[in-house]
Amino acid sequence: MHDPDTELVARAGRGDRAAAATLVARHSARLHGLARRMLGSEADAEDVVQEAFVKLWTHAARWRPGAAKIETWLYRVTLNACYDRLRRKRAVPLDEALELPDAAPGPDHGLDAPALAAAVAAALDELPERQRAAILLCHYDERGNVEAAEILGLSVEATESLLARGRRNLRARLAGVRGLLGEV
Amino acid sequence: MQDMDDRDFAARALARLGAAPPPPGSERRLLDAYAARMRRGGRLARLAELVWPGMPAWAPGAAFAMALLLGIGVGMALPDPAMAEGGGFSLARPPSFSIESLLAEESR
Repeated sequence: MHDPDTELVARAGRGDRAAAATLVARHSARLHGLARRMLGSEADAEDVVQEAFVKLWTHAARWRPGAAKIETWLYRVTLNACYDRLRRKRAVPLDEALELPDAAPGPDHGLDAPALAAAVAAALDELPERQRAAILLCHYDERGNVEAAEILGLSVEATESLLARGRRNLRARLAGVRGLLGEV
Repeated sequence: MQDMDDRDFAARALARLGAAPPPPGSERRLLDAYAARMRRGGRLARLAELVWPGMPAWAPGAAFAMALLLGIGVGMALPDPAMAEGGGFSLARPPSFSIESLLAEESR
């Protein structure tokens, strides 16, 4: 399996800043998007992406091509850092500002696009973290199930089952805004 | 069927989420971290790579420490060759001769 990043990582490990810049430009924005949606905080997202890249720089000099692509490895490291942060944050009360809209029909009809996006983000925040990760990888980052399974470190079957539960949960949590999401 | 509906719903819902671009300066900060990492670990890592390519920096260090300990251990366990021969001079033992004995020997 050819990984276009392998050579860049080797060069970055030898001190080639241009190779490091290419890797950052290629991956950091998507990793940040995933982390931002996982954690709900821009600052935390930037921190975990920073952690992932520092790990990459640490291993770059002796990186050996293995089973996983570098991009997959970066996603996995970022997600693990997200899980760690979410575990540490669990004791902290949830942000009341991101309260879900009531599932009962009626109040949602006044929601504008930003409020609807906030409702979707809040519903995602309430999903168990692995379901959220699976949903984000497949529907936000548009990864295939096989790639998502590799990133999550699960079998494809387990990932599909996780996705099915996540989608069902998401739909239930957004019951109040289904009409605005194009569902009758 | 239910799964298909859920999938479509999830796709529609997540399409409502806009992109979450990194904050300005984020790439520069990542590259600053790269430069700092290269400065800090650069020399040691390069030396380790030279000594034992492909291994983490602690491996050549650990091999050197093991070799040193082994050398000290063997050095302490083996008898001094000079002592083993039964003769020789050692600062640890008082000399078996004295000026008087030498003078007496010469006068004989």
